[in-house]
This record gives sequence, C-alpha cells and structure tokens, in this order.
Amino acid sequence: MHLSLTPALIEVLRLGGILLLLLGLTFAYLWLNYKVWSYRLYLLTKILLGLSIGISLKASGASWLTASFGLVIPIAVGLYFRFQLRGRFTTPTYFLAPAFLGMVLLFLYPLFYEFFLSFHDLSLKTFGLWVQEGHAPLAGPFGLDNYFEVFRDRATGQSFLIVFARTLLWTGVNLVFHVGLGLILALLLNTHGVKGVGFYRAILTLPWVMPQVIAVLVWRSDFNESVGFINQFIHVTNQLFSFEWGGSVIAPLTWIGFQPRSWFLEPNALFAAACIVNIWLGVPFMMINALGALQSIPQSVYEAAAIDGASPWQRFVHVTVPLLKPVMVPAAMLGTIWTFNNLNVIYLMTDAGRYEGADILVTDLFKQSFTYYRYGFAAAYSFVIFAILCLFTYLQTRMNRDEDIKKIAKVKPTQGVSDAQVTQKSPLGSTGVV
Amino acid sequence: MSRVQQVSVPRLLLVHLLLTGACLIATFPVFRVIAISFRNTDTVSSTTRKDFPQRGEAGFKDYVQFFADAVVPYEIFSAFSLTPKAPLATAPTDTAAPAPAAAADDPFASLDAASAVTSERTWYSNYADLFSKYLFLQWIYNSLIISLSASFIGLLLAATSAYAFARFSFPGKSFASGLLFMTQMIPAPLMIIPVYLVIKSLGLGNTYAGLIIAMSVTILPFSIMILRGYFETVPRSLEEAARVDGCTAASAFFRILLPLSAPALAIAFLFAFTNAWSEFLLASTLIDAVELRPWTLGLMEFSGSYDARWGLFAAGSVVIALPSMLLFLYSSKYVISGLTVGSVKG
Repeated sequence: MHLSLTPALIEVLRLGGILLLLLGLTFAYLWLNYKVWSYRLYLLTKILLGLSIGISLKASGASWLTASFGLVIPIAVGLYFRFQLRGRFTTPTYFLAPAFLGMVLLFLYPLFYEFFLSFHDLSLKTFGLWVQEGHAPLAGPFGLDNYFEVFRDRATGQSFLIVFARTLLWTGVNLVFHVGLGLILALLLNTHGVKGVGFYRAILTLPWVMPQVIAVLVWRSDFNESVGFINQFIHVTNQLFSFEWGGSVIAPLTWIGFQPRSWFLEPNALFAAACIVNIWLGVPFMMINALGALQSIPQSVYEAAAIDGASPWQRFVHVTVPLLKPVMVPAAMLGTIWTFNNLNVIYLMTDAGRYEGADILVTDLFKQSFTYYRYGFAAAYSFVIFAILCLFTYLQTRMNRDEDIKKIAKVKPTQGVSDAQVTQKSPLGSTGVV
Repeated sequence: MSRVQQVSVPRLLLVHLLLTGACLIATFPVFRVIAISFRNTDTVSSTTRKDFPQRGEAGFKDYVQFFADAVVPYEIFSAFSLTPKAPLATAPTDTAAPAPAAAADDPFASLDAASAVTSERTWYSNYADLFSKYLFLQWIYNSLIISLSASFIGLLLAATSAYAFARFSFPGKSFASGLLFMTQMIPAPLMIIPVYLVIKSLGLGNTYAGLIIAMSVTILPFSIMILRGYFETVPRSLEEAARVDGCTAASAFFRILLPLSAPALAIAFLFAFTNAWSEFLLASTLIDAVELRPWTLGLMEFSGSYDARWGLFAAGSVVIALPSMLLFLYSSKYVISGLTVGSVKG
C-alpha cells in the first residue's frame, strides 16, 4: 500500500507560514491601534469600518449573525482601546492576542452562531433556503419554539425529563464509583509497608492511559451478546455458584440480575454496560489524585493522632478525610462536568447511536442534530444543557464557599494552619483547574 | 523514628491480593485485545475451540482453560509448536458478501474486493492485512501529524496567554478567565456544526490544516488553566531580576519562565496530544477523504455493528495502544507529578 507522506508535511508547513503571517498581521494591527487610539477620529473610523464590513458581509450573502459579528468586532476593539486600555497594558495585550483571535474565531463565534441558530427553524426542510439565502424562518412567533420543543416534542420519543434523570443517574453512579474505588485503591497503595507501589500504580493507571476510543470499543466487543466474553463469563460463574436442590437448578446470582443478557437490545442493560465501562475508565484519575493527596499528608499528623488515642477508623475520619477534601472536591467537580458531558463512551457503546435507550443529554443532543438533522432544535437543546451545567457549577462553588467560610469561623487556629498547608499542596486546586 | 503503624503480614497479604485483583481488572481488556488480534475468526468468541462443559462436569482445569482461552493468544504458540495443526479457520465473512452494488464512487470498493479474496491465514494475518490491504499506516501518520502540530500550536498560544493571565492585570481579566472555565462546560456537539462552517468558509474543509486549527483551539482552555496555575507558582522575582538586567517582557518569558516551567509544559503537551490523538468527532465532520483520516475513524470503521472485523480492529488497537501505553508508563512518574506540579515551590 502506497504511503503519501509529503502532502501532509507540505500542508503543515504552509499552515505554519500562514499562521506566522497571521501573527504578524495581528501584531501590526495591535501596534497600529496603540498608535492611533488617542486620535479624535479613532472611534468614528472604527464605527465606519465596522459598518462597512458588516454591510459588505451581508451583501455577499452571509447570515445576519455573521454580518453583525463583522460589524461589532471593530467597534468593540475600538471601544476597548479607547476606554479600557488607553495605551496601557501593552505586554499582556500582545501576549493574549493570538490565542484570543483563535478563541473568537472557533469558540465565541460558534457559540453565538449556535445561539442565533437556536431561535430559527433550521432542519432538513429549511436547509436549502439556509444554504442559498443565508436565513431560515424564525421558530415560532418569537423564535422560542425550539426551547419549548426541548421539553415537549422529541424525535427520539424519550421525554426530556427521562433523559435528564438518566443523565443525573449516570453522573451520580459514575462519580460515586470513581471517587469510592479511586479512594480505596489509593488507600491500599498508600498502606504502610506495601512493596511494589510503583508497579501497581503503573498497571492501575492503564485504563486512563489507553486511548478512550480503543478501550470503549474493546469493551463493546466483549459485551456482544453471543460471542462476547462478558456473557460467557456470567454463564460460567453462574454455573459455578449454582446448585441442584429438589430437582431444579438454583443459581443465587441470577436473583440479583447477574445473568447473560443481550446487552445492546435491553436499554437498562445497555446503560449498565456503559456505566461499567465508564467506571473502568475513570477510576485511575481519581486514584492518582487521591494518592497524591495521601502522600502529601505528613506521617507526623497520624502519629500525633495515634498518641492522642485515636483508633484507625477515627484517624481516617478525622485526619485523612478532611485533609483529602481540598484535593478531591475540585477533582470530583471536574469529574462531574466531564461525566455529565461525556459523549464518547455512550456514543461508542451504542455504536454511534444505533442502539437506543441509554442516551444521556449529550448523546441525545448529538442524535437530534446528526441523526434527525434538527439543527435549530439541537442548538436550543445544547443551550439548555449548558445552562443546567452552569447552574450546577454555580451552586457547587457557592456551597463550597459557604462551607469554607463556616469552617474558618469554627475551627481552632492550629487546625486552620494545617488546612491551609494542604490547600497549598492540593494538586488540582493549585494548578487552577477549577 | 518510631512507627505507629505496625506491619502485619495477613493485612499486607490482603492488600496485595486486592491490588492484584484490581490490576487484573485494569489489564483485562489489554490482554483480551492482544489475544483477539491473533485470532482469525473475525469474531471475539473465546470458546471457538469447544463449549464449556455442563454443570457438574466442569472441573478446576476447565475454569482455568476458560480464562486462558479469553486472554492467551494460542495461535502464536501453535504456529511455533513442532507439530503444526490444521489451520483453525479461514476468513469466513467476506466471501459471503461480494458487495452487490460496488458503485464507482465507493471508496472502499477496491478494498472490499481485495479483502474478499480468501487466503491462507496465519497468526499474523490480521496485522499483515492491516498494513497491506488498508491505509492503516497512512492513518497513523495522519493522526501523528495532526495531533503533533495541533498540540504544538495550541501549547504555544496557551503558554503566551497563560503568561498574560498569570503575570499581568488587564481590563476584562476576570471576565476572560470566567469565559475560559465556561468553555469546559460546553457540550461537545454544540460546537461541531459552527466549527465546520467556519473551517469550510476559510477554505480548509477536508484538509489537515482545518483539523489542526480546530483542534488546537479546542485544546486551548484546559492548557491555559494548567500553565497558568504553574506560572503563578514560579516566583516573580526571577523575571524581575531579568527585567532589571535589561530583558524585555517577551524575552524574560521565553528565556526565564518557559525553561523553568518545562514540567508543566510537558504535562500540558501530553494532555493536548492525547486529546488530539484520540479525537474523532471533529475529524468525522471535517474529513471526508479516506487517505486523510486519522486512525480513530479507521478503527471505528472496523468495529461497525453490521460489518465488524474484530480481528482487524484488535490488531489495529494493539498497534496504536501499545506504543502510547508504553510511552505513558515510562512517563507516568512525570504525569503524576505533573498533576501535583502546582505545588512545587521554585
């Protein structure tokens, strides 16, 4: 099989050249703006520039949103330079500009675009119109129909509440198992006197290290109804633990649902399978975080507690848990967001959405937009999901803050000091991830 | 130094037992995929040899055999054993479906025709097919090019802006960092359509460049967060000393801060690279051509539910996963210290 290596290299080099050119242009633009921001006609020129860009974009067949983006950007830059920067902050501006350009182009603009789309009725019916003329009819009288439809009319036949409840269940189950199992493994690894911790840790991080696509697909192959390993394993295990009594075979494990299933056709089984796979994938991350935090707890704290007569359980509850908290809470929060928004696992487990009944919000969203082509609806849907997540994060941070304030008000100074020390050492907290 | 905790042998044994169990569960799919990759049946069945004996007849040996069947690639052993057995199975699936409407625009027509030819299968046939009948090497190469350049570009942008966030104040800073955190909460499918439109309108549809740009921006927020956290822990006085000696802010950054934050850069690069390396959503929308695909799309093609070629899929997975896993195991010390890297006091 022939291998073409050079086209890619040439393209990357060309891309690099273009990006360098773009960088130069950006810097030249900034330099020019810094040069002329104080002129009397500066703002007027900016406004005229914005107007001309917007009008020319609209004339060339772009959508209203694109045109208004072209109109607003120069004016916003002008205002920012005139009233905020005022010729100061040169260095951070130059340092930020390239990334900012990328973010505006590929994060902010798409976000606004989707927001714009969410008020329009864009589906296969109106797609031709959209492509030709750049606009689609508003959804309903005020363009809010898509948002109503999110809670009402759904092509997948599953109501929003069911999918939302399933998402909460998915997030909750995964989080509990991730944190619980991760913590248990970290405690085991941190047991005093265990040899070969490095080896165990390396092996146990494998699920995290394996490319997610591969891991999920391998699991999917093993969940196969007839030839997969899981069903055979269940069959064999049931055989091992069953016994004959009164002429009939009794397998106690089947009473708790441990029996061969067609994993992809039963919605609940599919959901359980996806949960198992995601738990397998996510435990190592929490384990690593917990282990890092455990190892940063000085031995002397435990010794002091032991001298004061604390039992192992008391030491765990009153020493380990409070000192783990500043690390595990941010990690768990990040894990919650990741799990909530985890498209890959369910998308791949359901074979790109072919098997139904295990969808969480994100995969349902994906299905609405790429299987049913309801773009406008999907845009509204994604903003609903986004709002839910934002609300959740807001509540979470506020709860944490309240708790912190209570704690600071309550605890004695000595404990406060040790708390502060560990807070500094918290892996995720101090890398500023959350 | 007095130890409070006593080392008790039964407890240690229990801990080792539990850890070994966890290790078995963690590595099971790895062994499994290796075993499948040497099978020639195109299925994942582990009991192709014989059925498991009925209840009451199964002995301890049968249970061992059952697990061994699942994870041991017998084909290798039988290939090297002195008495060669008859070939276990010949490629069964493809001969039955000769692709009735092989249209001219079907990019896989020639590949399908090629794979329909039944030939003698040996233990390495899956691997041989992967490289001779499919563009697998090209896909790996594409992924490598795309993820390397995307993470490089993304990291460069992230480092400079993280510097601006960590060291300077400017109007709108808290707003911008709030926005950065918000991007973590955007559901992935939200961005696909507009990003596709942007890339398309830039004339970069179906090219490496379009995918690279899209991915490097996707990587940005998380990298900025990691690097910013690290930069804030590096003492300001180092740069100030350099500034006193006549450095500009830019050269203080490139000459003092960047070399000092090599560990954080490595971590951010690793995160970015793995993200881009196993990305498939953007790739599946931005890339049409077979020869431009990254490996993720290729593997997903092998594992479709109606036409699964698990043997090929497993072989491909081994080829992809083993090197990256070895690399990670080698660097796991740094990865783990990298998660705690913020606590290093310069």
